[in-house]
Amino acid sequence: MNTIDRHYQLIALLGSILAGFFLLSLFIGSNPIPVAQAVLDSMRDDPSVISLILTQVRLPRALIALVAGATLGVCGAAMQGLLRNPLASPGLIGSASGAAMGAVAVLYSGWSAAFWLALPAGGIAGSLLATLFVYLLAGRNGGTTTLILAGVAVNALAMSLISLMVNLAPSPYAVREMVLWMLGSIAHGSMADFWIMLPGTLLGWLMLVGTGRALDALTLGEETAITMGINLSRLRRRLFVATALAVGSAIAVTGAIGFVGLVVPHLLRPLVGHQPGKLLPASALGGAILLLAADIAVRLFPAGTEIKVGVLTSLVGAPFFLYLIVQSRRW
Amino acid sequence: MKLEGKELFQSLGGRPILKGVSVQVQEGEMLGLIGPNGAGKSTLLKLMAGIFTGSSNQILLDGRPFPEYPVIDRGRKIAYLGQEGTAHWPITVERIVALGRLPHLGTWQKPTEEDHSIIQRTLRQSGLSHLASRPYPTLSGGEKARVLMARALAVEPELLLADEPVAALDPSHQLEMMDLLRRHCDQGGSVVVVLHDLRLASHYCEHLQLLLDGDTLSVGTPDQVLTTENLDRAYGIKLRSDNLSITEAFALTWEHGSSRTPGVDN
Repeated sequence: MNTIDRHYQLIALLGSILAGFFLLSLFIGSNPIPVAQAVLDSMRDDPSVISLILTQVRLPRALIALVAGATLGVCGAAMQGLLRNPLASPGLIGSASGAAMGAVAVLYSGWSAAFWLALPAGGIAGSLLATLFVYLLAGRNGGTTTLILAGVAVNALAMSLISLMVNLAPSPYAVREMVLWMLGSIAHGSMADFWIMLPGTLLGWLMLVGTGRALDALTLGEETAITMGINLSRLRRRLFVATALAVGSAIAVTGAIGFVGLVVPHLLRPLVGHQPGKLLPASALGGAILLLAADIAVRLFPAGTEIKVGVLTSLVGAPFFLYLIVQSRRW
Repeated sequence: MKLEGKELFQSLGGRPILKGVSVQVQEGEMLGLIGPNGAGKSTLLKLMAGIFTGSSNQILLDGRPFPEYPVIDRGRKIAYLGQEGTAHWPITVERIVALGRLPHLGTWQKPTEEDHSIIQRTLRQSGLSHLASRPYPTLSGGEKARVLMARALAVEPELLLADEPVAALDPSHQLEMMDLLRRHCDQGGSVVVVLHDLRLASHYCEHLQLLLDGDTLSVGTPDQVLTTENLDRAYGIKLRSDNLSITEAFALTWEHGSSRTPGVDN
């Protein structure tokens, strides 16, 4: 069918844009390096400085942006589909603020200095904890509104705990650590960081595979979806666990990165004929593109003014989202 | 398909709604559920649709209890059209109707040629072909109702459950809608339909089941159910004139005129 062809065309287009941005992000940095030479150097036994910049700085940075962006995009699309609300974000069910709370708690306690895995582990644990809390409050049988309200409440609780920890921080240095982490950045990500986030995000993605059909059915409302053979409580459980794992793992490494999960599905939805199922893969690609592009953009600011990528996405995302809402009021 | 439910109970929010209602639907039959607001009609319909789980109720499909059927099987055999049905995204009419084929397709299965022809035929029979590429939110209330009915018909279910499907429709489209349900029965399917218009109910349904306060007040042919006594007990209404018989009063006194509704092509 024609429409199916169009969908594959869109996926192919997004895929090539993504590949382009990924390559571009390897080429752009504070110091120009001959990338071809660096690739050749990295294969030798005694790698040169430029090859180290490529493999130890730029490559992990690009990989983290790709995986984190794709995670935020696809989880945003899944949440919007589940709640049938274009204003839902992957963080709505507590995953992002929970991850932030976990990470800040680790920074507060000082464990992060003691062993390097503590920070991401704390983030993932916080994400799972907050999501579980939302699920127990409203996830099993509660209506959509209950779920959103529970998410708002748990997010507020997590944010207040973060404030409390910043407030009681043992040293100005710790405060700075926490605040900087919350701004969201992938500038200093290492390959180790990438490997830490990969299992959780991959597992989350795998759990999302095949949920598109159920999300399509949910277009007609929960009761009708049930009569179409969709097991709604199982779907909810699956999406909650997937989002908690994937978003938690990503945010634990990158820090808070806002609006990617909100804007990307919103932007791509008309291109897939508003079908929630088809929106999932498109949003994964779109999220990766957006975060890579944002991370490239922050490198273009003059050296010395280090703008965090999370600040940039929010700065650009919020007004853009407002614009989308005003636009969509036609419906 | 034959559906049978014996002494069904259901509470909502701690309030008992159904208090031991039994229901039977035969193959090829259209059963009309009537009764005052709050009698339990919608709840009974949802129970038959399998929306309430975990209750101890026993509903038999062709003699086999509900839980023995995988949910996806039930999704193919029974289609449900809710009273507050809607589509949450501005997707096109054709795509909404295509959702009716979803229970027939596996996770990665593409719609077959047959699925496509069923979708097109349903659009045509529902008089929606000219709206096929329109986004759902741009439709009028009546058009929306017909689109959602077309989605349910596209399932090609053995049993179609429809909750007040004609509430938003003008007289002509009410007839169209009821004709569609009638045709579904003529082709061997069964229909349970909740109706408030007693004339449509008595004209189109073989049997009526009159519910009152979570229980069956009367069940049988329209003539048996729509009696002076039942009307008074259930609705608190009576005929204005003594000269008119009940049968005359609930006869459908209009039909399709010579200028059919634009867009309907059957």
